[in-house]
Amino acid sequence: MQKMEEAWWDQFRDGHIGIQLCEKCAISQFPPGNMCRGCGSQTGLSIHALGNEPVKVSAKTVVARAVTPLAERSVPYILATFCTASGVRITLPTCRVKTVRERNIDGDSTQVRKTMEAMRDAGQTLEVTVCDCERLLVPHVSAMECGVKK
Amino acid sequence: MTLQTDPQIVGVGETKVGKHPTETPNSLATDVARKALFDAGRDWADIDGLIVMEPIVDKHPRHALAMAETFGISSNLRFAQTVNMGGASPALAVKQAFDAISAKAANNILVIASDTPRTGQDRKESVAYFSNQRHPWWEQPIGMLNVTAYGLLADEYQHRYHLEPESMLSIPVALRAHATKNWNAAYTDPLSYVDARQSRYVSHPLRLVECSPINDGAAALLISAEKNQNSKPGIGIAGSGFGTDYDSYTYRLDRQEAAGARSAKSAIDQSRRSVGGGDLLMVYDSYSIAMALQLESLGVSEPGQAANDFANGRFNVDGDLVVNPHGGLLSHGHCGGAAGMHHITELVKQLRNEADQQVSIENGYAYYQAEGGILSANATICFEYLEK
Repeated sequence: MQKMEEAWWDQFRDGHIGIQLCEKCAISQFPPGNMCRGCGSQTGLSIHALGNEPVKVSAKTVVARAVTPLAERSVPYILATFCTASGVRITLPTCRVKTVRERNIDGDSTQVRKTMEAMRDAGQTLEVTVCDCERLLVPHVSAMECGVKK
Repeated sequence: MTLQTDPQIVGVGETKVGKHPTETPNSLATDVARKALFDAGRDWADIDGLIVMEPIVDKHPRHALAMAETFGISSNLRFAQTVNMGGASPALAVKQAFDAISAKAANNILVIASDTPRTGQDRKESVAYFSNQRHPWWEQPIGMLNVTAYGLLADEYQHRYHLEPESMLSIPVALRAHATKNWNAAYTDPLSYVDARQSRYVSHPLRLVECSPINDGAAALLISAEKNQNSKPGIGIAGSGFGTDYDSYTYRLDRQEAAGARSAKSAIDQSRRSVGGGDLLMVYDSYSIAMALQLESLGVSEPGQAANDFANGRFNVDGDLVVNPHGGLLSHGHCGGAAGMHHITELVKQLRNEADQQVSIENGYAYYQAEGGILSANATICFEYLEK
């Protein structure tokens, strides 16, 4: 048996961003857990991929200075918080988000930030899918290696 | 002659905040504890309770007991506790001391916060200490640092209220002006808007001047239910509150009520008075955005208006409601595990009319609002000046 967290990162490695759905109350949640934080149910929880669900940008930040080894190797990078229509929030490095990358394939962090800002201002929705880009954050905790080759 | 009273703050002790390369958290703690005892006209033998904040440097598994043994009071204590709630710790420790005394668990409690994260270890390691508190599965792997979580909150806030990324620079600029007149502050060089705009981004939109700098320092309070003829007027608690929220930014839900507002409401209800003109207000300002959000939780600033209020001089030492006259964490300095303690010692000195930069507090009331984590643990205390 695998830890739930490890299973989530395995799926991420395969290109899926997992959101947990509670069958009992139909609430989705992220991060996943062994109980529904809405109704308390401990059964009927399943992970489905965010893939086709439209999301909006609700926050973003350009990390320019860092102190931890992983982040220090990766600066500058952008983290963005995306929000689904059902209110689930998930924060990801935008270099791993296909939609964002496709529009700024050669963009520097300022350009990416401006694009994200424009998307948010316009209330535009986007699909968040994981891309296998080369410029990415590599988790420094070995159990959580996201596995995409650098 | 000793009189039995309600619990009150009867003594304060502080070190300068900055670099203390020849000191340890324990040696600084001894210094401030001795000062607090002297200030109150008491002796080590009076102490039967000890509450300490957990430091970053030289942390012991039972820190309160480790500190007690350095003072030689190990066998005297009836009450000992180590508090570890991030930035909310000193406020919670003070409340806990009042409660313990009211419950007759102890009569004279020293509350001590002391840390040397600037020179006691590689400073970078101390900054990383906070980032290593981010969630191990959902935050650290994506490169979320402590400042990054606040950066995301700042970005969302600025978007909601249509503010420019530079709008919050009024906060560090105003607090630096306060610190320049405080003897114990770490940063006393003037800071102009031009300087602030040249400060580099750490996590956009937050610039370095909007993030509190790590330093060494310590402060202590003596809280007691005893008074004698030499005692100074005490400081009591008129109301307090605590409010919790998600611990990790990742668990934050969309548009939920701020836990700081719940904690503020409880303190306001208990004291039957809101924060207003003629009061003193101390706010735990780990980042500019933390200051803004807490001022709005207290109902002091309208939503989205906190930085504007700073820019207009409302919180200056000659303003309507003075905020952090010592310079706050942003300019007085952030002493790691001791951060926030100087807010309370400054508040006591101000209420007693003994501060370096004394402000006028007409009503004799001072509020302290603090948060730990990412606005996760929120505490509010309304302090009152008690007549002698």
